[in-house]
Amino acid sequence: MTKFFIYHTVKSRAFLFMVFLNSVISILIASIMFISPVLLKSFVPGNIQVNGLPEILVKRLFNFQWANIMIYIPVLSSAFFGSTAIPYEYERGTIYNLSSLPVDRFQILMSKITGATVLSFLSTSIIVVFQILFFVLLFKSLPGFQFLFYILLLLLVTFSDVCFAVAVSVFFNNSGHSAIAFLIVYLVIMNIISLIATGTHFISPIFVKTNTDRIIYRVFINADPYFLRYSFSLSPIALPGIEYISGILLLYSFSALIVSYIVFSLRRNFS
Amino acid sequence: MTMIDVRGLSVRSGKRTILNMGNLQFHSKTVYGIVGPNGSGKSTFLKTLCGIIENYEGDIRVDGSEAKKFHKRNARIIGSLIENPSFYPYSTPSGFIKYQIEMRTGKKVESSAQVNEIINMIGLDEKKDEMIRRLSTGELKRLGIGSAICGNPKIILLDEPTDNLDQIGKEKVEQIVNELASEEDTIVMVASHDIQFVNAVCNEIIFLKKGEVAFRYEKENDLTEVIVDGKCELLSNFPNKVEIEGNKITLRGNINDFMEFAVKNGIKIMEINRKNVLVENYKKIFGN
Repeated sequence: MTKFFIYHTVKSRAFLFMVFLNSVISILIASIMFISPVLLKSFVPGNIQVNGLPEILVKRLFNFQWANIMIYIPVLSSAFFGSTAIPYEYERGTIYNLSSLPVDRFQILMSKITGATVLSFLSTSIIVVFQILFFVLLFKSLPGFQFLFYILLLLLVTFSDVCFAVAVSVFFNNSGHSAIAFLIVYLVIMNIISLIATGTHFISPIFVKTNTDRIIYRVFINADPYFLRYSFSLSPIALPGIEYISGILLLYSFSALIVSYIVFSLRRNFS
Repeated sequence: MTMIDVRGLSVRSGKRTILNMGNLQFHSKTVYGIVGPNGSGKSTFLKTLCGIIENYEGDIRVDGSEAKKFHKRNARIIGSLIENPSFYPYSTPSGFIKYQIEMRTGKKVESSAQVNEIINMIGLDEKKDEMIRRLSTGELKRLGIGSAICGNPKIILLDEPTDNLDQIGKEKVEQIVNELASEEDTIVMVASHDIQFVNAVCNEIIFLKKGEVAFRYEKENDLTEVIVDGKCELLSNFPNKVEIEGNKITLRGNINDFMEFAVKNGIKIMEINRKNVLVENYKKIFGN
């Protein structure tokens, strides 16, 4: 079932559009970085000159900056593939066919989530490929071992974003409404919660999904240019930190899975 | 053999009862027709049988198993085409049929012969590798029937299979249904408001009115008047007659036996008048 969903979506216009969009974004990031070193400098505190930094740090800054834009790509992909996966079936009426097959709701849900994760990761990978390409062009060497962590975390963030998107989408019958609702919850509501958390110290902002996703760029430099909440360091985040945030992301994923399953199981094809 | 046993089935939508079927049995080797005007509950009944509608009262047993408890098992033996079939537009007919076979049988399709057999039956050979979104309404309908017969189900439910089809399309669907009906141990159930189509393909017809069974009609009970020329005295020797009046004999059900009898005894047949009461009953129950 997963294979069929992936195969069908890969041939769709939505996937082609996503590939095109990610390619354009990659080229834009590359252009900005090559044309304007000011942007690279904006992440370096004080009066330190980028040119004067050791090469290893410049490489980290490059990946850090690239990953800064990258964190929005899984969100966008999840809105495209995750939040439309279930409503699409209701919208088109293919839910009748799915409901008459010898599969239960859990299987349908898991196939949809797996399919959407693979598709989201595939489309996100386009930017990673461009990132590696420009890294090699710029530094005449391959990215280091940290890059592996970066890709693994990207996969985890994509999975949790897809689960989150599906959890929002199970309440909807319309793909468009579902995608908008997910983006509002993720980009507006989560950021409001994050602001409240930062201001009140009621909860640690690290528990908020939008902040947790930012672990992707902290693999290179442990700083958050948005909230400057974490201790600013030009060193990468330590392994326990990665484990801790990965745990939070997994918790988000499983909670979203449980919500999706309960709502999707209780949903009737007819009232 | 009873394949579907329905007892006290009732479906509600809010406070309104949209289906109240009472007790019904459906046997194998039969083509059933469910007729009635729009909103009479035809589609609802089929949706309930194939597990799309789960919130119903009463008991449905499919091949002896309770439908609510054994959805997975029953879904393997029920193939359905519900309303206007919807598909994945970027898939191909062959890809979709392969997916349906794999889902229904739980086994990987190793050779394309299985897929091609169905594609051939529904007459989509030339378009099997085209994107579904490029198919016409009639082709989509046939693909829907194809998906309903994937995995050799014992029960085939077809909801409005001739809707929006031209005459050629209807004839093609009629041919497919007749082919399906010739299979051993198979029930085909056709819900339609196309009375002519139902009359052509079904053995037994259930009239639904406001969600209830208004009338049950078996084609076996159809009467046929045969007018013969001469040898009238021999007519009384034919066993399955209803009435003889001069040179006119009235028969019930299939007249093939009588035709054989006539040929054997050199009886010349002048006229055959089939008394089909289906349309008559339809008009009587639902008005003109």
